[in-house]
Amino acid sequence: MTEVSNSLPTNNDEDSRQVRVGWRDYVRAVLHDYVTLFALAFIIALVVFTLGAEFLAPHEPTGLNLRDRLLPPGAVGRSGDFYLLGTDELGRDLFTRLIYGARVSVSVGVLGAALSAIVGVTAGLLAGYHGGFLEDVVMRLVDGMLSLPSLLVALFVLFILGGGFGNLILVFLVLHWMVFARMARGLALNAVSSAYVQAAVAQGCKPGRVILRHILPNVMAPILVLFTLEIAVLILSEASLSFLGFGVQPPDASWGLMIAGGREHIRSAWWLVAFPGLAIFFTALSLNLIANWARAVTDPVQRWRWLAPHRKSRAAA
Amino acid sequence: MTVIETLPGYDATAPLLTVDDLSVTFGSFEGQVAAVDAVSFSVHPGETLCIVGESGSGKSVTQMAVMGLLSSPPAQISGNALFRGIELIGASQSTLSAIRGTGMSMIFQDAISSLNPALKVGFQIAEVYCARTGADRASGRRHAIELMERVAIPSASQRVDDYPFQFSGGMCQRIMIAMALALNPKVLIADEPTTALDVTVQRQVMELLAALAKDAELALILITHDLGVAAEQADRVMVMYAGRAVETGPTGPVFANPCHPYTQALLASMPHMASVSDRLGIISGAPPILSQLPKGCAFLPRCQHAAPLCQNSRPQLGTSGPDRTSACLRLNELFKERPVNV
Amino acid sequence: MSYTLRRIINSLVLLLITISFVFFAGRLIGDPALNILGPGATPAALEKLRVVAGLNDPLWQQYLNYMAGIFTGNFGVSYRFGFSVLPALDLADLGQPVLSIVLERLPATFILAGSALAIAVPLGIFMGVTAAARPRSVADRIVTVLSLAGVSVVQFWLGLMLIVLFAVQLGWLPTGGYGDIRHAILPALTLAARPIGRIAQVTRSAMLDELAKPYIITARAKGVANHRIIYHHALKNAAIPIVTMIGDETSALLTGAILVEKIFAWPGVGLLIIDSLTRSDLPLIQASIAVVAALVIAVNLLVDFSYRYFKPEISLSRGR
Repeated sequence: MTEVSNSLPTNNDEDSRQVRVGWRDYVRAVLHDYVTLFALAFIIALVVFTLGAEFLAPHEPTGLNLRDRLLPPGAVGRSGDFYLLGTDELGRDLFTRLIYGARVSVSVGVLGAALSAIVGVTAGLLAGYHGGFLEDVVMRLVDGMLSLPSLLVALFVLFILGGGFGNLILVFLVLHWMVFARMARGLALNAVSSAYVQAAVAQGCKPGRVILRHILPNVMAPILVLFTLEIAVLILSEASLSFLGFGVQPPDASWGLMIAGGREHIRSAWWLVAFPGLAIFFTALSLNLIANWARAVTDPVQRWRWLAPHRKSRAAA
Repeated sequence: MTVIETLPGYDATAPLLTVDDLSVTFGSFEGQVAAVDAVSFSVHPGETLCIVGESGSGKSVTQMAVMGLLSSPPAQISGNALFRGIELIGASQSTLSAIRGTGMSMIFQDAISSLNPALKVGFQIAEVYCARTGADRASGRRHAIELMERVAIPSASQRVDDYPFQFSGGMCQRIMIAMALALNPKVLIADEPTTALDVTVQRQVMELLAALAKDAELALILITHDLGVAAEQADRVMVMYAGRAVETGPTGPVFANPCHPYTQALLASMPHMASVSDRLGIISGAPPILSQLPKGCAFLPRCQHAAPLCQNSRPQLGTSGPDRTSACLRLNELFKERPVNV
Repeated sequence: MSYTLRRIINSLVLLLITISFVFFAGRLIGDPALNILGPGATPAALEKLRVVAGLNDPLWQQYLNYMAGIFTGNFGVSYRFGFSVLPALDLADLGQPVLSIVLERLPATFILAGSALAIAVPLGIFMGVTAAARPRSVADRIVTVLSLAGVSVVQFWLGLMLIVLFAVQLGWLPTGGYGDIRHAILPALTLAARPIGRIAQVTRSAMLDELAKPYIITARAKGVANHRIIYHHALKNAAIPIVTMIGDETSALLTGAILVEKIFAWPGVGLLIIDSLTRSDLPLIQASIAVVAALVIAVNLLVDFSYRYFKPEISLSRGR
């Protein structure tokens, strides 16, 4: 120490002593968090049933059985079939239809979010990395589009183009890429000023390589969290648009359409509305819970609350 | 609103503030870490106690614990802190609220961020005054102006409605002081009040603080790492290292004749003290990492007088002179034969 | 140019772009004359209408006429409302002006959105503050799950379930319609679920940030009571993200009311939009979208200006 002063040395190397958190810590944390564990289990089950609908569904999705119409949940039909969640007005098993409906609802959500993410992240990273005119244009577009009433615009565009799976995805892409773009640009701005990117640039990396190999992997975590949230948002939007008749068109059956169909029978057969709505609710809730958890455990300020072994506090007298 | 005099244990004749065997530990990834380890001290009206030590030595945490400002968990606090006989450690929120402001107050290092950016300074100064005395806004405002004049803020009557961001760092610290004095507390804890200020303002603020403390017969607990400040202001000093008190005593004797290797090293590193021996002392080695303290004396790795016996046990505070204590295992052989001048 | 003026001009430009987009996109669905008169109309009637309504003019001229009309408050006349005799010769006499149709419906939408906000804002803020005051406590977990549930629920489904429970099964409240306060309870509750969740979430995280700041310790050290620290010191500093979220949710209420108004047959702008869409009443669609977009933009502006109140630096630094 060569500094001459009448002050004491200060100890500011807290950061260099940061403890690394491994995947085992995350697994342990999630096993102790029953709410998140439930959400994770629900999503895994949803994926399994969606992919393996042909093998796992108890009935045929189009199996009409007019003798077993509008049976309540848990009923046994005249032919001896068991209907876990009841049947609809054509005697089709509601549980089976929910499983097949999941395919449409989930794929609209995942595809819409994935395409929005690809377009939005690309635009955002390029804008944040290059700055200048490109950034100006992209961000103006983002701000403008974000201040539009999105449900209304979606309704109008689908009214012009007509509903259906493809148009729905297109509308979601147009109305949701900005969310990703805004976040990606913010992350890119941070990354550009960081040492690891400057080192890469100094070594002569081309912009494309810097963005793909150096920036993208480091900003993936928050983008994945947003992606999870957007799937939930899009599943909800799809339900609303389909309910109004502007989304998925029959014979495709999404959860939103099933609610719309069940509405006629709501006084006599509540389950036709209740279960598709619950399916959407639990799917969206699980995705939100997982995103929430992921955000909390990756936040360097807050994560000790989740990851540190929990101890009872001892209030000293 | 509870009044101090009605709290259980209140005794007007009891010492102002007595802290006994206070420990604070935090749970961390590396296990339990003792930020403060069995610290004891007391202050009397009109007395200034300086707590000296490096960052991370536990001097701020000690005072935060006394004020009840550490949230638990993560902090685990044990020991006693009595204000006029009222136990502060583990006290209820209402007890603490009653004592804070009227009994004890605290000001902090970074005055600018310690003021609420969204509220007018006058309001912040008079807030507890209004809440406790039931005064209306107008008389609160007058009280705020008086206090701002007491801490020598120019044109106080106009600036009372300004926001913190409109003041300089030095002025913000004056506002903090005015705020802390709003209810005439008996104890004022100042946590490095001048560290974040420009060198030119440091002295002004410190002199103001000393003058106000003298006027109001305040017990002032001054946390600092500036030994010059300590030498000028303190009646007594307590030197802390790695969460423990290593030496305590009246300022004059301690600075003239330190009885702990760490205090010695500290004083040797001060330029004007060092000039006596024509050599600038330095403290070799790095400050201690609390989670990795050695089994023996915490200062051992950096101590000039380290001996094999220092590895065996933690030194306890022992008498090193009249009204003085020191925690060194070699206290007797190293410091005893020197004449103790009182 | 002042900041305020620039914001207002930006907003107006955005509104004009939206209206233009709706105008041109509306032409993509086909011949407006055929749309008005229906597939059974004779070619002569169609041609007559085109001449009268100026539909044979070049598109840019029609656009300019339309935009000029808008500046005088004339959004055209409805293809459906007030049409009694077909084929009509003079549209202006027969069709009702769309702007007045939309404006008539506005109060109902305002009542609904206002009631929902009156429920959601205090409740959401209270929940968020309670959670932030004790992170990871039981209260915090409950608030987190409840607020995520509010965000995850399908609004129109919630409305249907409330109807089944409170109107059909229990018979306490009407299933829908417009009238006294009993008609507003279920739709307002339905609409409030999402903003409660969003406001609670943003309040919680903003309050967690603020409660970790040094000025909170100062306030505690000087003896300010805990509830005052939370509701006065921290909440005012946490206000900007909360107000932003309230603004976003207000905009969402103005459009999200579409589904709830449909479920409860609540005669607001939302129901009007659905009706005009299903009946291809293009002028009415254009006017409703313009009005709603204008409202949303106005809300955004209001939120922006409210920042000055909560963050003194903003107004004072610009003023001096």
